[in-house]
Amino acid sequence: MNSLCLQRLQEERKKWRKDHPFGFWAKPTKKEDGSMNLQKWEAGIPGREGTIWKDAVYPITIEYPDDYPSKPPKVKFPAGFYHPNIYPSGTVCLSILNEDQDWKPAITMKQILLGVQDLLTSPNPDSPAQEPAWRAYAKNVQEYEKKVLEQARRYTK
Amino acid sequence: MGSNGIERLVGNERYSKMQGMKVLLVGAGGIGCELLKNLILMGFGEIHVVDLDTIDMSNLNRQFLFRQRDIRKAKATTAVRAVEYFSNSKLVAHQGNIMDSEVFPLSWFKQFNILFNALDNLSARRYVNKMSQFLNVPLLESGTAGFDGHIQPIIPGKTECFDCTAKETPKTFPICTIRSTPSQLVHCVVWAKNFLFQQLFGGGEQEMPSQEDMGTNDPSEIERINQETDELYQLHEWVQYGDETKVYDIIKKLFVHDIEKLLMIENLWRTRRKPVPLGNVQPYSEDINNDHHAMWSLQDNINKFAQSTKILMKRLKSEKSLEFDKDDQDMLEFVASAANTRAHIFNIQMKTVFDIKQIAGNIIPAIVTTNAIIAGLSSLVSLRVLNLLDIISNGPTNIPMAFTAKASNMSSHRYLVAPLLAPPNPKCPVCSHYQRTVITLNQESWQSMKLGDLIKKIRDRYGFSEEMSVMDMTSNRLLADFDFDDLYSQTLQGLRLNIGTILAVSDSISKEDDTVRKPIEFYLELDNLVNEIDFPALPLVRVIQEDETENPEEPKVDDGEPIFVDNGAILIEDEETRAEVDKQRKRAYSNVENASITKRPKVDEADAAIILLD
Repeated sequence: MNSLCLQRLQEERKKWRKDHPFGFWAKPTKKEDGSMNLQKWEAGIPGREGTIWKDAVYPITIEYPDDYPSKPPKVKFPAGFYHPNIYPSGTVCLSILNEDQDWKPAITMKQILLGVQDLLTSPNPDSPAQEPAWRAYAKNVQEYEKKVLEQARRYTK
Repeated sequence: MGSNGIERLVGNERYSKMQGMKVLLVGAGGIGCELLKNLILMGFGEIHVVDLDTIDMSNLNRQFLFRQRDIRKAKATTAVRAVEYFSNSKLVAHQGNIMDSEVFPLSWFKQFNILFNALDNLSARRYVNKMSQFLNVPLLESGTAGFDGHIQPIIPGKTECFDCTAKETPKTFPICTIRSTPSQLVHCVVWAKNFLFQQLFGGGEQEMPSQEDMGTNDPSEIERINQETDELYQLHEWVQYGDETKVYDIIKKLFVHDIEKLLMIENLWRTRRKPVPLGNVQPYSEDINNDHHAMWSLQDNINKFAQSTKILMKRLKSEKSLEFDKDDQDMLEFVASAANTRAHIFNIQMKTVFDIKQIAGNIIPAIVTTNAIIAGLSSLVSLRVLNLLDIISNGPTNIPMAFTAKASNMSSHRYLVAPLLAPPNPKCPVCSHYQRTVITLNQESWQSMKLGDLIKKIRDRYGFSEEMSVMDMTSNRLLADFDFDDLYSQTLQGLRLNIGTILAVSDSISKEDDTVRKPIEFYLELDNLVNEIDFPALPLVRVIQEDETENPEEPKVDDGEPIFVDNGAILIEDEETRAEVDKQRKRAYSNVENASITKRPKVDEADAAIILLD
């Protein structure tokens, strides 16, 4: 029972309701008894217009640990998601989600989701998380784009 | 005999007051055993001891109320039995979890004049702190970690509560560091324990995608994903169905091929030293080094890795999946040899199995002397908290907390630093954020009242808006808010809002004046003498909703001027101590026996040496 974590998550929910970027959605998951679990959210991230990621909304889950906001949440795409910085399990490797790097307790859900949207179109070649997408991104752009477009089709809006 | 000493110290009148007092001791472990003895010798009238644990062999070196014959017996009852013969206090032992509100409801806590925490975990500490806040009963918090220890008296409403300062929790490491770029031995240990061991022997759920969350139904895509995750499965398959000959393949894969793959990612190594894949190494099954205190050579580690992998493969066949246990020799040796081999590859200094056990098990040795000193301070300071001493001005913030200093290099001049207590942190998520009260229902309304009705009653009674939200803090679930009323028609019983449930009710910002009704925490009690439902009155407080995400204040820097206080003492700032205290408190303690206190957002107490002017 960490009061700070739950208070902050209620804040996040209010903030998101007041103001969230166009095309995104986010909601807490429900527990079996019908109550809401503020420590686990589902969200959708639209691919940016004018990029190979466009016309799709990519599903993620956001899990907030009990130590949030001292510790960052864990963001996951579906397992096997094709992107150089996403682990085979779907876990996102992003500096603002890393306690040792750029995570700050003040970072909001909106900033996280925008950060992940940005990561989709601008992968970081210095932190590879999966081989196929990383290799293709570095060595075979055509193959990379083909796979990304295929994936976008599966998550069409 | 000890009683006489205390009697002289506090005077007859107060001593007889003490004999009428009831105290609660939570925890009968390292600090608890010492503290129980102290409390008895001080002469408190009635002492209740709560502990849910049983005695383990490893407790015997410091928990002196226990003997070998007591192993596996309940700590609370055994401790009480051990001290009964010299006790004039009434002693009551409870084997149970202090957070179990059916056994220990708030109404039970009410009987005590003071609570003593001698706990080993953060959640129970937080819980007792909250009970102390609900009841306005003082709490003496204490903890040790190795040579370090602390006590903190908590007087609700007057001094900082346990949660007024952020508690640092064990560090987690980013997955990227663990999997690709370790730079410390601890990264290799985490890799070996949480990733490799889990992958090979633990069922590997952590990183294995299941069919449902593939996020696609396209068969060719599923095939691709499977191919990609095959490598993860492969190792698991090898140990599950393979024979001993696979061990060499495992070594090759982990320590040669995987490293070669990492090396191909050139960007990773532009600013880092490149790892060196193992050369042509063969594990030998003779000349195995079994000395856990010796520094093993690379060959020793590889031999041990092969040996322990084989043993664990065999065990896996009968045990299905294994869970890491630092006290299981095969598992420990597996993790240690894998971590050391990986460390060698990444040019990191290897360590002995004994050292790695401490890292893998998050062990800081518990030291009996520290426990005894801390228990002594805890009981001594309780006299001041209970206002039993005739000394210098006894305002709550004139009572000291205490930290050990010398052993942890906090100060080279003295062993203890005793900063005075600070008033409650206005931003504290526990003591400052809420008003608190108890809602009492009778059985019938508990069974029939709907959540929606309860919400309406609370709203009307305490002045919340239509946008109020209700959070069940006991089971971390949101029951209702501005956008969620699905559960309104369910009964309290149906929602399992049992005795002891803590509900946090808060409001959204109102459009008119940016203030909200101050949030309230309610503790649910059941009492059939109550007519339907009872809500005690609370003052209506409106607060300005602060932006929680604004940057916290920068630590205030004191100028080191002497501070004069009214009792003829001069407090002299000790610069060296000041910086160190803060650093010291940031050490991660929380998963360590009895440990706790850490980070303070502000440096605001007089952390000082006291020189009395005669």
